[in-house]
Amino acid sequence: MNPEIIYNTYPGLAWDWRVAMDLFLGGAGVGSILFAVFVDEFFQGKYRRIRQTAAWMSPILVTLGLVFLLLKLGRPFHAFNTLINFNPHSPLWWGGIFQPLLVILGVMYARKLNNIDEDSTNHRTLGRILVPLSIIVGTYHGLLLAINVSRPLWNTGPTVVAAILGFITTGIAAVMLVHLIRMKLAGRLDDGDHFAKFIDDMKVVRNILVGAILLQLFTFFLWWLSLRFGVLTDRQALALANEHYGPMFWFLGIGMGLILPLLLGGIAILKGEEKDRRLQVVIIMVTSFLILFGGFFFRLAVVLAGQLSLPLNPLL
Amino acid sequence: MGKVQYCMVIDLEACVGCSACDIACKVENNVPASFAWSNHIIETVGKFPDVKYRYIPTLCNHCSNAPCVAACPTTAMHKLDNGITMHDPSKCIGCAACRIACPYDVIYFNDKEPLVREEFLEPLIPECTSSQPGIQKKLGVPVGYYNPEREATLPGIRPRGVVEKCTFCDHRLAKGLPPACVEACPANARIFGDRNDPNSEVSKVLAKNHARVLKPEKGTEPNVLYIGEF
Amino acid sequence: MKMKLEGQVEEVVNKKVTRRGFLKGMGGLSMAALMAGSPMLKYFAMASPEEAQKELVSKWIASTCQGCTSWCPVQVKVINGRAVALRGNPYSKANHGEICPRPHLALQQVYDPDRIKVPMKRTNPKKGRNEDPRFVPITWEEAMDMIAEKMMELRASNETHKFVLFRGRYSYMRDIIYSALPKIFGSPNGISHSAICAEAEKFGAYYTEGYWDYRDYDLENTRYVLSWGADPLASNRQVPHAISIWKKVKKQAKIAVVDPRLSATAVKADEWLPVIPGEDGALATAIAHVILVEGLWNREFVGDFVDGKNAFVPGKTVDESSFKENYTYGLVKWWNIELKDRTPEWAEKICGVSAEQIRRVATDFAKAGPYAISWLSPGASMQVRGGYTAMITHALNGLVGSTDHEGGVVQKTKVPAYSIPDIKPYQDEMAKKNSKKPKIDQRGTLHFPSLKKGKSGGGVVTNNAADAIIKEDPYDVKVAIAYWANFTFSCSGTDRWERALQKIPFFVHITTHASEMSHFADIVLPAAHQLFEKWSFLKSKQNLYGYASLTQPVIEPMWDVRQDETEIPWLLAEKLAQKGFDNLYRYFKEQFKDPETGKAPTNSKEFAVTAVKMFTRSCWDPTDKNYGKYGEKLKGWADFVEKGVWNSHRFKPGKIREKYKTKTGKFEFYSLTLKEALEKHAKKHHTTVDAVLEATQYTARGEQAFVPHYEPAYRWGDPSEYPFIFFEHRSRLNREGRSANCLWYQAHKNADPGDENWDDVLKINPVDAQKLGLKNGDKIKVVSPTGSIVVKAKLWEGVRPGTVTKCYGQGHWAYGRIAAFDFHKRIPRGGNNNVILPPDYDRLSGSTARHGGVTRVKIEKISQA
Repeated sequence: MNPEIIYNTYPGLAWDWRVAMDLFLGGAGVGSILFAVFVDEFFQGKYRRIRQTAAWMSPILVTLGLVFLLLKLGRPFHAFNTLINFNPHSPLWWGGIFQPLLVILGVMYARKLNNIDEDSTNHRTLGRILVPLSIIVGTYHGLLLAINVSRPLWNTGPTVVAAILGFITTGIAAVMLVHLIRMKLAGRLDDGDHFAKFIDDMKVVRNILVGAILLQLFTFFLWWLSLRFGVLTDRQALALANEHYGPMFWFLGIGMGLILPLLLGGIAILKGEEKDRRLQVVIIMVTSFLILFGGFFFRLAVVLAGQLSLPLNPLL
Repeated sequence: MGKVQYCMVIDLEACVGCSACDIACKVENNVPASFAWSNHIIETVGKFPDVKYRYIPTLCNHCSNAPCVAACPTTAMHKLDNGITMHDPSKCIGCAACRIACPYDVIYFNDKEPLVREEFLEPLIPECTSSQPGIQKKLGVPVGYYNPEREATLPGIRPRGVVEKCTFCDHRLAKGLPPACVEACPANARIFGDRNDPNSEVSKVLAKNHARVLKPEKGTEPNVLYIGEF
Repeated sequence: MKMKLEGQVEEVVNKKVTRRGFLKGMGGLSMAALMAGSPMLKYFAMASPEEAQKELVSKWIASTCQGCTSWCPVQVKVINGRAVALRGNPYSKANHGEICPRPHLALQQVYDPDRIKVPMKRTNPKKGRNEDPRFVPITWEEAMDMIAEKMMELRASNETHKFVLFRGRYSYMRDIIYSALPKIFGSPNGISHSAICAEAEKFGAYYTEGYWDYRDYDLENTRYVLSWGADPLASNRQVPHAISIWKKVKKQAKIAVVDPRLSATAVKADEWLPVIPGEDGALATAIAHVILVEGLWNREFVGDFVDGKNAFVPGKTVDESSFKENYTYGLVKWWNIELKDRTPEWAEKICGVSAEQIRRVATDFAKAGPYAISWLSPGASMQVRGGYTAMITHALNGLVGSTDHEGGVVQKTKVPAYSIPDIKPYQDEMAKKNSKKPKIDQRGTLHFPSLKKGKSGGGVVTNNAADAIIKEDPYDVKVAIAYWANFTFSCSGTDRWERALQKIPFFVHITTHASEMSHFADIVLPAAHQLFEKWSFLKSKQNLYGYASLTQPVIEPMWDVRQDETEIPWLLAEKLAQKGFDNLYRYFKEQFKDPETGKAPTNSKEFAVTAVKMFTRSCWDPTDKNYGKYGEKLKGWADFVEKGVWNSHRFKPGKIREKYKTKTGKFEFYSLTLKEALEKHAKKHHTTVDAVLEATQYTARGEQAFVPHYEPAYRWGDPSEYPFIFFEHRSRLNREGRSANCLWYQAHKNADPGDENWDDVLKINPVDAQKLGLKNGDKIKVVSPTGSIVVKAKLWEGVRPGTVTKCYGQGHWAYGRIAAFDFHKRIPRGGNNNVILPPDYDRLSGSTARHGGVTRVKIEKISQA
């Protein structure tokens, strides 16, 4: 109340849930393509199907994300302007260039994986090109927020790290969920041997996932630290964010999206020899869903909270 | 002589907080009522009867290190040679990255048809009063007081879907006139000119006074500076 | 490059504009292209071709802003026939090319889609706030015919005095419609708005120095400004001049603002004295007390003790013969009757300003004298007992010798202008007789002395006309015309006006917008906008220059409108002549001649121009006897039209003090002038001065009535039921209550300190708000003994605890779709102060007492923000 400061600016939100959707879907897309390449590189010849699922999902997810982004644009039909102009300072420009590229190369890669008899070196080369490309896109998702000096909540290093870890967790979760559905539809889950093999194969993925979640939690902790003990505007931004979007971030994003999956994953690790396949499937599905659910809401909370107007620093 | 760097110095001691600048800007630039290219911060501090009040006029700072220009994916937001941060709506895709990037909240987004007021679509008293479409039909302009001179360097009104902001009245500068807010200020609190020219009034004023900018910690290097106390 | 267009009114054909390479056509799939067919399409187009810019012919044309009564000379930028911008008239020495925010808003008045386009006729015979008038368009011919018909009925029944002409704002063309029309027709009833404006202010200057008018202030040379509720940076009567010079004033002078609210001027002052509303008199008498006790009066102006020793000791009377006065009269009487006990400690308890601050301000003010200004405003005088406060605050100028002195408070320079030609030869017997009947506002009755210029019943009692009409005392009103007025909104006790207008059988309203008054009209006539569509002129002063400033049609009228003060009476005169009463028409035809050509006007438009030329002749016609006598010599009518303003010589102080137009010829601290006026009024009613004072709500008795003295504030409402003192203030964006339908008014409302955009807030101190459990934005009902309004709460430190304040201007339930929250359902945006302000008066001046915390209120929370 005292001092009372009034600065009436235009009340509309610049970025809303559609931007969060783009970050979320794009992130999952980046994660899934990396997953496909990873499996292809390190488990040669194995897991053909999960690799296929992952490779196809990437262009679809990234495209969906782009659609949401386009829907947010004031003039979506002018989006081609991004392609014919050059501004390397702008993360959005990088996004505009590299996301479509990722989609195109992703489709090409997925098509190659469809036919495994084709020259394997060829698709490996494409896969290796896709790695840096998807990391650029993933980093873009972080930088899009992090470069804004005007937004203390975003303007931190952990913002970028969180985005990168975010694409790992949501990418894997998305692949697992979709792959399970795919298997189910194909009737393969009912085939006992096949399923045992699948579960076994999932272990390494699950371990990566648990590791990424732990890192993600640590990153959020660092993010919090840097704001909590940062300059005045950092502290104000954190307080304001917690006031308005605290429940969304901490409960939906962290609680349901990271902690709960971690517990479930832990249970799965501890009970690794559990033979109740049905339960295992349920755990995998629930965990994946929670990670995706939380992954969206942490992004939404961050996108919205970062735009809250801070109290203005009086002119010195 | 080096290149021109336009700059505005606002003398808060002279400013009386009347808002003539805000309104004159809307008149000159056909700005919708809900936007404010020229705006202000109001601060009331203290407890009765020891109360202080300050009015700080704001506008686009035309930063030398402009975050909005850096953020724009299409170069629609760009710097002119004279230091003005200019916007080209024909390139604008309406992504609002500039709005997000601006630490000063001075960029506005046309999420509606500009200048259209729903209140005025139908006549108030049938056949006895007019309506906005009625005035458009009679005068051939969006609003009666529409300023066509704005069209010299920008669309007269900016279409839905793009952003808009202060241009330092570049279309007036081209004719040797000061920005509309400078001319309208009855307190003569706004001094405008080339800070790279040591003989300009702004340079002299800046040399004599301790000038401050808004949010210096953002490193944006604003070209709107403040002197004096309100 | 601080550039200002000084000097010439130039015709600017835009020079070639440098087009930048990046500005190509919008092309492509722009949303604009998708809205093909929209009339606005082409304005979305990218930079218009150079050719199109070159075709724009822009010209600055002079006119005058009547957004407040500063009446600033302005210029309008007209491009291809449309008004697109405003600026100060650089030829004017008064506002020297500066304007406040108000003139810009006028653009949204003239081009307001809610303006009335054509004459309207009521088709619902029932009148009332909740009745839809069901207006339908009619022609001017039909409208004037109906009005003339009704007026002729009054002639037939010998009741012409039952015709009333209500005047709100005016130009100096006013006497044609306000004086000639009723008087030649046969009615005494020209009822002006003046008494809801600021007449009580004039009371102060008149009964001290014999000057019934507004003062001017030599800000350029002053060393102290003591403002009594005056807010010159925001409102009347020299806003742009004050704004432009304030930095200099603040450097060279101390500024103290007496105002219960932290006003626009208070925020730019050195001292804020947040007086309890209505108790200004205690503060002012204490300041006078300190000045005398400390021996700080101006010896040259006031004189001195014969022995040179200051005998003004608190509580002690002084021998009158021990003091020899120079330019003043009655100082010792004043001390003995009033001031001797008015110590700062006494005042502190009453007015809420600390004794320490009173001493400091009094001392600094007096030491700066005679380069000091005690600046009286309606705030400190338009109060139930405000007449005397006006006198004390003006008397302070007398004490420090700053009246008629450099750096002080001065009178005006004459602006030579003619008024209407003699009407007497055109008054027939009925007119002569009936126009001498008592006026409808009951002026001059025992309860309404209205002592304008010393004359009982000399001034109007605007707001009382409503009650008089309702009570049919002295008679019933049958036909009324109101122009440029909205008394159902602008007079306190608005419900009375609604009832009064409901009662008038035939009411005509001349207005630009369908307002609260139009709602009760039988005929509504669309008026030309004064700034853009009308021929007239104004007289005013700022910066020690008097001036005559022209208004002219700078654009073609937007709609089928007529000029209120000239064209409409002409059209009416024509109709009356057709119906057999041609006196008014003959008067216009025979007495109005173009000074250049000698031609009589042949139609209403020519009549308007002819009249302006006649009235302003001394400013521009070398053959006129007053040409160049008081100021500039403009080179003919065309020169005046182009420059738009005639400036007087700069006022030179020092002559008027040699002989004031008072009874004694001196500056009267003991006012023999007032004594005579009061005694005459008492005699007229066969009673005593004390009885007059009792009848007019004043507490003074005996000798005290003739000196500037403290009167306790008069308030409506019991403190136990109504805990808060309510007071109102003005907006820097108000065009006298006519700008609320402008989008920019609403969008920039927080330019008034403490206010909020697009809202109407009651400002309350956070301490009080906490007690009531109020938060910012809570919807509240503000209830006074006479009415209630619903507004939002605004917690603000700039208002004194125990008092609450709200700006005047919002609360329209008509006037358009921005001004009203719902025009058709008659729901106001915010609340009109005049609904809760009781209709009360400073009866000595006839003024409406809208200030001084005339009512108490209670606050009820309706809903959470």
